[in-house]
Amino acid sequence: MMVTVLAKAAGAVMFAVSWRLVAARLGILLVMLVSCRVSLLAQAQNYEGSRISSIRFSPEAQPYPLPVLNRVIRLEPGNVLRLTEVSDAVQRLFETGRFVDIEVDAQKEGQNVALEFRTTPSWFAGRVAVEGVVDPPNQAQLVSAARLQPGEEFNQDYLLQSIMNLDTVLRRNGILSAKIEPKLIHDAELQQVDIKFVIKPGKRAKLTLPVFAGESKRTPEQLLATTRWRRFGGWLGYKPATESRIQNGLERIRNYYRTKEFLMARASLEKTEFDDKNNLVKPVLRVEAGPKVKVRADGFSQSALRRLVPVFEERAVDRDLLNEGVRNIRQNLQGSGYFDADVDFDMEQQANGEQLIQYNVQRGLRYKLAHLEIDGAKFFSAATIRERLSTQPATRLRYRYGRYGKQLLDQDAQAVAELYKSNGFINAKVTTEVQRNWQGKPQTVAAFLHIEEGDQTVVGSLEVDGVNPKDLDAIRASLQSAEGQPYSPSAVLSDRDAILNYYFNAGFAGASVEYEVKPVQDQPLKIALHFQVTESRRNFVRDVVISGLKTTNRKIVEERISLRAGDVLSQTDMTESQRRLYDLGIFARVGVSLQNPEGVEREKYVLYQFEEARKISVTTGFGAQLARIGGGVTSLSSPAGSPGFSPRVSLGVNRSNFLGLGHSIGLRAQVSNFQQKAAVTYLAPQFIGNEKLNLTLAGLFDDSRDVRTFASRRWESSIQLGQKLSKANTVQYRYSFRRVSVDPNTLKINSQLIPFLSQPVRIGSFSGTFIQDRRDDPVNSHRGVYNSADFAVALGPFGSETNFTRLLVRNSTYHRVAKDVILARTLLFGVMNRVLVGESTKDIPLPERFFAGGAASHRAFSDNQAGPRDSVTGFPLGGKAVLISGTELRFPLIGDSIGGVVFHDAGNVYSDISKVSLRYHQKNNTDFDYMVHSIGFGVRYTTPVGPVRVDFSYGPNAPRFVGFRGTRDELLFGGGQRIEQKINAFQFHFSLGQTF
Amino acid sequence: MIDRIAITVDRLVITESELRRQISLTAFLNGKPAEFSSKTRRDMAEKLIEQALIRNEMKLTRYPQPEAYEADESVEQIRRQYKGEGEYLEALRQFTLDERDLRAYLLWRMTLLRFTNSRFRAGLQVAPAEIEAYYKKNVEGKSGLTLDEARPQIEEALVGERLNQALYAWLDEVRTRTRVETREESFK
Repeated sequence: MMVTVLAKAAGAVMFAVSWRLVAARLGILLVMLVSCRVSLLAQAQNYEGSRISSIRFSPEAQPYPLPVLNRVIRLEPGNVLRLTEVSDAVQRLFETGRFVDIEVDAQKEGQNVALEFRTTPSWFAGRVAVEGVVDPPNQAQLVSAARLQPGEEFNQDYLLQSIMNLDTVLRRNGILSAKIEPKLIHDAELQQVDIKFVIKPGKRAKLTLPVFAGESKRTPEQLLATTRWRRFGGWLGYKPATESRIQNGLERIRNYYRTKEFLMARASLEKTEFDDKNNLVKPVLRVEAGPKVKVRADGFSQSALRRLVPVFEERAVDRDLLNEGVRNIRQNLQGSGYFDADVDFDMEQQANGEQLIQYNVQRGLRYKLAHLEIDGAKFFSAATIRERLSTQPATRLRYRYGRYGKQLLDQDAQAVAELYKSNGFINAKVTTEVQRNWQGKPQTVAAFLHIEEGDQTVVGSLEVDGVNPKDLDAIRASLQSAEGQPYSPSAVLSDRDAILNYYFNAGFAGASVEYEVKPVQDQPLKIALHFQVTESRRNFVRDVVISGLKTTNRKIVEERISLRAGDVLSQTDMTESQRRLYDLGIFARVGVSLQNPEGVEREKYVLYQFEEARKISVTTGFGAQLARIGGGVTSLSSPAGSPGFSPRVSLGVNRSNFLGLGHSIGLRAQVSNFQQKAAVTYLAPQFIGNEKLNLTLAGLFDDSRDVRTFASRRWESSIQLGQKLSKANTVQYRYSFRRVSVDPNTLKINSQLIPFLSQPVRIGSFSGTFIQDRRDDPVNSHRGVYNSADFAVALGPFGSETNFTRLLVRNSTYHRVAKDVILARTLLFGVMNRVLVGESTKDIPLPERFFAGGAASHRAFSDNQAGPRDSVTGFPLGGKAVLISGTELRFPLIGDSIGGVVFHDAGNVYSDISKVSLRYHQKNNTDFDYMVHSIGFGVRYTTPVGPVRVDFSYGPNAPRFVGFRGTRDELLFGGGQRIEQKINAFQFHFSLGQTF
Repeated sequence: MIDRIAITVDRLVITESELRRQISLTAFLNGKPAEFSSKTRRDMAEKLIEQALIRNEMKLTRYPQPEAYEADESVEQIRRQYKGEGEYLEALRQFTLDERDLRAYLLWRMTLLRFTNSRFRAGLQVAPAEIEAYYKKNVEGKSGLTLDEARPQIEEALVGERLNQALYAWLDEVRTRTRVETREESFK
C-alpha cells in the first residue's frame, strides 16, 4: 500500500508533503493513533445493536409495492440494527430515483426497535405543451426552449428555469409582455407531471430605429434599408420584431458587404434593447466594414473564385483560408488536365487602402491520364480494385483528360490499403507513382498503384466471455469475425457493436464490451480475439404510458407498441414500435423515452408521447405534356398522332387519421386536355393492426382521350387488400366494379362498328397481383429483378356484363456488366380472353383492351399507337395480347451526371393470343400482328428526382396502314380520302425516369 | 430520527450518520475527541462530496474493489497501538465505532489512493534539474542524505505533488458538472 511504503521510507517527511495534500482534501489523515475518550455521539447510537422489530414506510402510498421496497433496503425484522446498513438502505432507496428525500426514524419497543422510513417522492416530467402563442416562435420551438425532457426529474427549480427560458425566446421574438402560466397535472401513481404553459402573448412589439455601432463605411440609412426592417421604405413604419427577421436583416448586411468585396466585414447583434412601455425592440448592431478585399485569378471568373476560395464563404481572410484556396484552384486545374498547375498568391495593400489578393496561376501543359496501372494485387483482381478507384484514365467522351489529381490518387491508395486491411492484410502498403510522357507520348501521364499485400492474418481463436451460455450461440452467430477467417479491425469494431446491440435489446442497457486482440503464440499470422462482456443490470418494462392523443383511437396506438408490462426492455422494440407509429402517417412526432432513466430500478415506465399531425393537407400541381398527342377531335387525319401540347392541373386533398382510426381519405383530381380524372381513396394502412396488410377502397371517375381513337368514360369502385409477404414480395387482392363507356361521337373507327363498340359496359372483376421487387433502386436500377403478375377474372356472377380473363406479366432484370455499365432488359406479356359462359354477348370493350407504345413501353411508337388499327380510319383499336421486349445498355457518357443508352425494343400489341408472332415483316397494310422493332439511343441526365430522359428511336419495320383524310362527318356521310400512311420510323421521347 | 439524507451527489447519498461516522473515524485515528459542530460537519461534508465524486467515477469506469483481507495489515497496525484486544475494542466503542467501521474505512482509503494513483500518475515525469533544485532547497544540509540517496524519494514527492494538482483540477472540473445538493437542516 502506498501509504505504508511512504511511512517506512527514509524520506517520509518529504512524501508527507504531497500525500498530505491529497489526504487533507479527501479527508484521509495519516497520523497515528492515540487512545482517548470522546463524548458519545448522537442518540442514534442508542439503537445500534438492537433487534429490528418492524419496518414500515410512510406515507403508505409508495412508488413500489412493499416486497420490492424490502428487497431494496435489504433490512428485515429480526435483524440486528446497524446504522451503516441503514445508511446503505437510504442510499439504495435514493438510487432508485423515486425519492427526493428519505428519513429514518426509530422507536424503542422494549429491547427492540421499530424502523420507519419516511419518504418524499420524486416527480418526473410528462407531456410538455405550450398553448396560446402566435408563431413565431412556434409550438415546437417553445417546447424545446422549456428544456423539460419527458421522463426526467421535475421540480420547482426546473419549472422556474423553463418559464425564464420561454420568456427569453418570446422576447427575442418581440413578445415583451407575455404572461406565462404553468398548469401542472400530477399523476401520483406514475409520479409524473404533465406541464402545460398557457401563454397570453399580448401584442407583438415592432422594431424601431436600430443603433449601428462600428466603422461601417456606410450611412445608417443605407444599412437600415439593407435590413428591410421597414415597411415600404419606412412609409408604413417598422415591421414586427421577430428573431428570424433580425437575423435575416443581419445576414442581408453581411451579404451586402460581400457583394461589395468587403470580405472581412463583420455584422453582429450586440444586444437587443426592449422598450416594454412602448412595445418596441431596438437592435444594437455592430458593423465593421474592414478593408475592401479583391480576389483575382487569371482565367477564373468571380463566381468560380467564390466557389474555390473559402474567404467568401467564411467571411474571413487569413492565410489558412487563402492556402485552402490555392489547393482548391490547383485541384480544379488538375481535374481539367493541368496536372502540373502551380498556384500561389500575393497579398497587396493598395494605395486606397484596399487589399488585393492575386492568385498567380501557372497552368502548365495540359495532360491526359492515359494509363492507370495496378500491380502487386494477388488476393483481389485488378478489376475489383479498379471499381473502388476514383481516379479514372481518359476516355473519349466521359473524361476527356481523365479524372486525376495527386490528392485523389492518394485517397485511392488509402482506400485500397483499407480494403486489404479489412481482409486481414494488416501490413498491406499501397504506394503511388506517376510517369510523365508515358510511352513517349507527349502530354500524357500514367499513374501506378503499387500494392504490397503482405501476409494475411486470420483469426486463430475467438472467445466471448461474460455471457450467459444460452446466449452464446446467438451472439457468435451475429459476429462477422470467425475462427479461420481473415482478421479485420473494422469487423472487430462491428462485432463489438453487434454484441452490445444484442445486450441492449435484451434489456441490459448498461452492458459493456471490451475486446482484446493479441498474436497467437508461435503463429505470427494468427490472432486471438477476445470479447469480454459485462452484462450489468437487466431492465424490464413496468408499464407503457401513452399521452398526447387527441382524436386518435388509443387502440390503434396500443396495437402498434409491442412492449408490454413485464417484457424485457428492448431498445429495438422501443424504436420499432416508434417506426410503426410513424408509418401510420398521422403523427407529426412520436417521442419515446424512459421515465427516470438514471434511476437504479429493475422496471421502467416507457413513455410514448404523441403530437398528431395536421388532419387536412392540400397539394396542387401544374404541368404540361408535349408529345404526339395532337390532332383534332373531329378530324381523322392524324391517326398516328401529331405533335401536341396539353397543360395539366392537379389538386389533391387528404384527410388523415379519419375518425381517429389512422385511416385516411384522399381526393385527387387531374384535368388536362386529354383527361379529367377524379379519385377518392380510403386507405387503412396496417389493417387490423397488422403492419403487413393494408386495405384500400377507391372510387374513380375518368374521362380520358389518351388513346386517340376514342374518349372513354369510366366510373369505378374497388376494394383492395395488400399484403406484404416479405421485404421484396407483395400480393394484392382486388375486387373492382366499373362502368365503362365510349363516347360514340369521339370514335374514329369504321362507322359500322360504332354502335357495337360504343355501348356502355359494366365490368365486375376479381384480380390478384403478385409483385416481386429486388431492385437496388426502383428509380434508377443497377442490379436486381422486378417481377409482376396480374390476373383478373370478369364474370357475370361478379356483376359483369362481359366475361373475360386478363393476365399481364412483367419480368425485368438488371445486370452490371462493368463498373458503371448496366444491361437492363424487360419482357412484358399480356393476354385477355373472352369467356363464353352465361348470357354475356358483349365483346371486351375498347378501353379494357391492351394498348401500348410510347416512352414507357415500345419506343417505335408514340403513346398507345401499337397494335391493330381500324381498317377504315387507321386509328388504333387495341388488342387482346401484348408481347414487348426491351433491352438497354446504360453507360456513362460525359462526366458523372450525363449517361447514355442504346436500346432495342421489339414486340407489339396483337389482335389475339393466337396471332402473336415474331415475324419481322408486315404482310400488308392491314396486318398488325407482327413484331415491330426499334433501335435507338438516348441520353440520361441525373437529377435528384431521377434521370431526365431523351430517347431517339428508329423503327425499321414500322407499320403501314390505311388511314382516312377527312372529318368524322365525311366518314359518316361520305367524302374524305383513304390514303396509305405509315408510323414515322423516327420517334422522339422525352420523359422522367428510366424506361423500366 | 436515526438517519436522513444530508447531501446528494448525483445519485450518491451522504447521510447524517455517515457524516458522523466519518468524523468519529477521523477523530479515532487522530486520537482527538470527536467534535460534531456545524463547522466540523461542513468541513467533513466537503471532503465526503469529493470522495463521492471519485466514487461515481469509479463506478462509471468499473474500477476494481480491493478484497477485504487487504485491510488486515492496516487494522493490525492500529490494533498494535493498544495494550490488548479489550482496550482496542473499548477505544472504538468510545467513538461509537466497531471494527467493521474501521475496516471499511481503511479499505476505502486504500481504494481511493490506488484509484488516484492509477488514474493520474501515468505520464507524470520529473526532470533531473527539478530534483536537484528540490534537494538544494529542502534536503541539503538537513538530513545528511546525498542527492543520489535522496533522489528516489524526491522524485516520488514531486510526482506526488503533480498528481495532487491533476487530481484537484479534475475534482474541480467534475464538480461543475455534478449535481450536488446539501440539506441545510443537517448542518444546523
